[in-house]
Amino acid sequence: MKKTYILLFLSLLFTLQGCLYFVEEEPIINDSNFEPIFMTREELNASIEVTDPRPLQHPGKIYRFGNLMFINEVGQGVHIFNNINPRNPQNLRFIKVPGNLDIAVKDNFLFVDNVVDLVVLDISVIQNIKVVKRNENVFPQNLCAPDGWYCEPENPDLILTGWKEKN
Amino acid sequence: MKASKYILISILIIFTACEDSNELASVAPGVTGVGGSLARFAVSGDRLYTVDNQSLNVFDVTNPAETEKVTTAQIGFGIETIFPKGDKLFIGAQAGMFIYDIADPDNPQYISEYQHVVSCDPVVVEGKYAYVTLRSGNNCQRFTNVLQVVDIEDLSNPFLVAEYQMHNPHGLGIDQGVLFLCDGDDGLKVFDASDPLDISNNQVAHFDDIHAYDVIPFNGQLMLVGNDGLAQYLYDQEINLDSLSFIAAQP
Repeated sequence: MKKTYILLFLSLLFTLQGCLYFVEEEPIINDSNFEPIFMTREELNASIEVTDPRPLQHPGKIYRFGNLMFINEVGQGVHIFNNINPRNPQNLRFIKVPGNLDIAVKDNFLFVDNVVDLVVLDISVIQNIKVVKRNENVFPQNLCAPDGWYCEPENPDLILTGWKEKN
Repeated sequence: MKASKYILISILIIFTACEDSNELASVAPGVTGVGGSLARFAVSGDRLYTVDNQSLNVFDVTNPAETEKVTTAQIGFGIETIFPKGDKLFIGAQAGMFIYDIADPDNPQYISEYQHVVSCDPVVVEGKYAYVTLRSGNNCQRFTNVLQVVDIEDLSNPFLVAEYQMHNPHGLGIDQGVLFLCDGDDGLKVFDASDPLDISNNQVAHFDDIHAYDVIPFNGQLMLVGNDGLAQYLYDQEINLDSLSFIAAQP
C-alpha cells in the first residue's frame, strides 16, 4: 500500500517536472521544414524596383485595366503587358515587389501588397513607373510556417517576408 | 492677335503630343480595372477594399498618391476573396459568403451571411444570383467540390437554389449569362447560365486541356491564368471560343 503511494507521489513529481520545463523560457525550436526570411524596415521600404520584362514563372492573380494587363508573379512582383492587341500581348515591364500577391488599379495608379505594406505606384508613364505612397504595417505577417509546425514570435525590428524550405 | 492664335494652336499640338506618348494607360479619371474571382483587392468608387484572413480594410484612394487606411472591420475567419458589385461587397470565406453594404464607403455594414460547409470558395455575382464554388484543397480538407447558385434578390436573406457537382472548382467568372468555371484537372467548363436552376444540363463547352485557376471574362475577351501561363480567347453569346494568344510560363 505504502509502495503505491510512493509511486503515485513520484509520478506526480514527474508530471510537475513537465510543467517546470515550460515555465523556463527556453528558445522555441523550429521543428518545421521551413525557415523564415526576414527584412528590416529599411530593406522593405527600398524593396520595390522596376526592371526590364521577364518571363512568367509562377503566374498568380490577373488584372485588366484599359489596354494593360497585369499578371502577378507569386510572391515576387507584377508583370505589365500591353494588351492592345490580345493576339500579340507585349511584355513591357516587371515590377519587383517582394511578398506581392494582389493587384488593383485606379486612375493610372497601381495598388500592390508588399508584405505588410500597401504601396501605390504611378503607372501613367510606363517608362517611368514610380512609388508614390507606402502605407506601413496594414497587412498581417504570415508568422507560421507553411507546414504549421512552427510560428515565429513577432519582432518589431524584423519583418517576416516569407518562408523557404530548409536545406 | 494672330500671333497669339498661333501660339495657342502650337500649345494645343504640344499637349496632343504629350497624350500620344502615354496612350497606353491614359484613361478618364475614376476608372478602375477588372480582377479575377480570387482577388483580395477591389476598388469601388474612391475606396480600395482589401481582405486578409480575418478582416476587411478600407483605404481612401480619392487621390491615390495620398492613400490612407480609413478603417478595419473584423469579419470572421478564413476570408479569401472579395467581389464588389454596385454598393455591395460579396466576400468569400471558408465558411460562407458575407454580404456588406458600402453605401457609406467608410463604414461597411454587415447585411447577411450565407453559410456552407468549410471549403475554399470564390464568389461572383450577376443579376439576382451569386455563384459560389466550393472545393477541397490544402487549407480546406473537405470533400466537397460543387458549384452553388445562391439567390440574393433579398440581400438580407440569401438562400441556396441549386447545387451542381464539379471536379475541383477554382476561380469562376460570368458575363451576361455565360459562366466560365476553372475545374482543376478537369479543365475549363463553359455553361449557359441563363437558367440558373438548370446549369449542369447546359454545359456548352469543355476544354479539358485548359488547366486554369482563375478567369476574367470581359466584353467578349477571356483571360485565363494557370500554372502553365496566361491564355486569351474571344467568346461570343453562342459560346464559340477562339484562341487569341498564349503566354507560356517558364518555371
